[in-house]
Amino acid sequence: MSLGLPGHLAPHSESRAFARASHAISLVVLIADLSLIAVLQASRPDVVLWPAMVALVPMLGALWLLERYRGWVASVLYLVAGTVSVFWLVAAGTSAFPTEATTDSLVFTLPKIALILVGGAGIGVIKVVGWSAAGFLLGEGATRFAALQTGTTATVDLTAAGVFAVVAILFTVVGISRQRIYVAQPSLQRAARDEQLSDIRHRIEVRAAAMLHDTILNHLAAVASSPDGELRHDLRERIDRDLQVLVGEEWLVDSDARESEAGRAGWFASRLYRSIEEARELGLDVVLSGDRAAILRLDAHRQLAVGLAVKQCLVNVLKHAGTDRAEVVVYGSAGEVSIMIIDGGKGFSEPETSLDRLGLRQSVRRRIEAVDGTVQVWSTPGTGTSILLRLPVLDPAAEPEPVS
Amino acid sequence: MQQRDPLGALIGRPTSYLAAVIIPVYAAVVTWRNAGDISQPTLAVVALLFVGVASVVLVLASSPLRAPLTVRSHAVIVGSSLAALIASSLSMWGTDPYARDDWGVPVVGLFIVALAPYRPARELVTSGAFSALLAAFVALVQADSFGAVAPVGAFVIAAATPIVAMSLGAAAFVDVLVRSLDRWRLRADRALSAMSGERGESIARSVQQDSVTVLNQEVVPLFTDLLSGGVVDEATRQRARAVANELRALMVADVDRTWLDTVVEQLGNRADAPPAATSTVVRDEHRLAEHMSTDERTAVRAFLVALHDDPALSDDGAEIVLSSEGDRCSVSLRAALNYEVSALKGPLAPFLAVVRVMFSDLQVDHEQPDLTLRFSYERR
Repeated sequence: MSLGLPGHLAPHSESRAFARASHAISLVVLIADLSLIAVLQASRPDVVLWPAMVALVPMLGALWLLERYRGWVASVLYLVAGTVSVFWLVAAGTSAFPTEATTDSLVFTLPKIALILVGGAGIGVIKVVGWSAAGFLLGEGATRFAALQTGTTATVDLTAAGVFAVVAILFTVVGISRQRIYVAQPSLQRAARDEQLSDIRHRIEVRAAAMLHDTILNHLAAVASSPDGELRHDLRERIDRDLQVLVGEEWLVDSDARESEAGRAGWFASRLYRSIEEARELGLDVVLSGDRAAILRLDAHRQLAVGLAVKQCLVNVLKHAGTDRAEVVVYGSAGEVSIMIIDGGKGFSEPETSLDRLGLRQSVRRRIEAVDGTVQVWSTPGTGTSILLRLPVLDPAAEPEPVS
Repeated sequence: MQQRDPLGALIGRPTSYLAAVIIPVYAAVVTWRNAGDISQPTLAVVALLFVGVASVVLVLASSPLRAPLTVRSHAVIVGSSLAALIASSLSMWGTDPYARDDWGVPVVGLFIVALAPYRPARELVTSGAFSALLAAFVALVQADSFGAVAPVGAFVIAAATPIVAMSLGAAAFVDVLVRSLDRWRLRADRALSAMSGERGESIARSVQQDSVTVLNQEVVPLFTDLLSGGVVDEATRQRARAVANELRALMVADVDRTWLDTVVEQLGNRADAPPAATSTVVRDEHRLAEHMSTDERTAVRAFLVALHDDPALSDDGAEIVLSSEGDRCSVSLRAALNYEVSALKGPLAPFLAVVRVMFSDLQVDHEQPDLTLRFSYERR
């Protein structure tokens, strides 16, 4: 979830972002100031104004240093270089234009703004506002001192004062606002974590339920319909095998690894192949068509889910459809693999199958939906059933492996 | 920014209010100070009206109720401020001694800065560049009419610089924050998937243990009897049917439980659970809770935990009802909350704010002591 930065990191990022923004603005205003001086010099070749341009060079150098190494030393160095630059600039400017220049001319205001937006070291409202206040006071001080030297009347620079006020107000408001909002954050992070764990658990539960459905419930049904006497040999073997797996082994934990090995070994090792073979063993005539290699483009989880879901569909055909023929068609497109299971049997209407809905719902629908797939069922009594399973391929660029 | 970090945008929200108040006041004060330079008072008023429009749109569009602030709102805000700039320049055409103390250009820049919490860096740069060009053009055309003697280039630079500087500054600010958000997300995701791996295994074991416990009650004894030489007779068949029905009923109940049921159940199972937590009920016949996205679930979960941690919640707990209306699912939550103040101001306020970010149509009514929340979400 987009919960944003955690409370302990947010002030760091904000201070860093403010520093970067300050340095971007400073760079723009200093370059603008250089251009302004150049334009003025070009229009008045009779006065010597270019030393004012040189005055800005140390400040630009210090800005570069500050952007690279945002520490106390670089911050202080920037303030010192900036103060010297402003002093030099005001002195050079007011002596070049003794009558026209006022100390709040734009040429002088721009580097003062760069000085206020020092974006110095440290984190938090107090430090940000502190650095800006220092920049503002040093800029104004240097201006007044330079004006004193050249005999110009110093006026209060409203623009510079305004910029400082905006910075101070902005950060105070953000600081207060953050304290109010971030109260909720630890709980949100916790909720996000719980949600993830609950999702993991849910997926595993779906897998477990589908597995129990496919094994135990099927066996119980088989026992319930067995004739008197000893249990059929093959049923006894299957019960024995499944019971050992379900009670004795870690069937939920390791299945991913086992299945992904199977996935790499090609079509004949895929779960879908096994499911179709198992259905054939049970007496169903399954015709397979389409691009069966496409199934290998699914990841191990999805291959397993498709294999088991198709098995359940085929078992349903045997149990309920009243036919011994079914067709399985595999389609592959760039981002998706679809599998259709078609039979020409009795058909059904899904809402009316509520009593035994667990098979289609749990072993097919929920299982496929748990791996982000979709299930569509077309069936009307008398015309057979088609079930379409569609699953996204995670990496559409991956080439299908050749059928071994 | 707003979509990546709704909380961050919420923090930026007071600055939008502030901008919406300070910018028009600034424009009005400067207009009043420059009253002597204005030759067309009507245009000066029109200019202030445009600033007002931009401010109102900023406040309305930045509301978390209407999140996210769209590119259209951005265009309206910057467009209005540019219209204000032009109207203000026209109101002083020929009578303006110098552009230095005009408010038009800084106002455009300030509005772009105010949009920083809501729009991407690239868009801020684009609207900054366009606005700066327009401002420069206005200055170029107006240059001859300024009273002050200065080269045209100086007027152009003076007009473009504040906008370029402020929009680049805003873009740099957003860029750094978005990058650090992305870095954090990457780290958090990595930590989470590591956790999923570790926890996944232990969760799988615990789920398996639950299944085995269920199987051991009836299924295993039945099968063990059969496997150790037992024969099938009518009693066995009946027992198999009964066990299958029980197991099926258990599985249907499990399958029908949604994450929301689980959350409420967990609230009641805590060691220090208040009586309210065990009384809370979820009515969700059609399992609509499953249609919520992970983010939406997280917001609701966090709110429910906070609500049940609140001592002001009455012992009757809460009633959560989910119903569907066409493509949308609606949720209504009712609880009795004995507050002195409105729930919107109490300790639940930040959680409500987060719910509001995820469900933009959230309605909160709190008529002492009945608190009602209503919101809806898309069916997925």
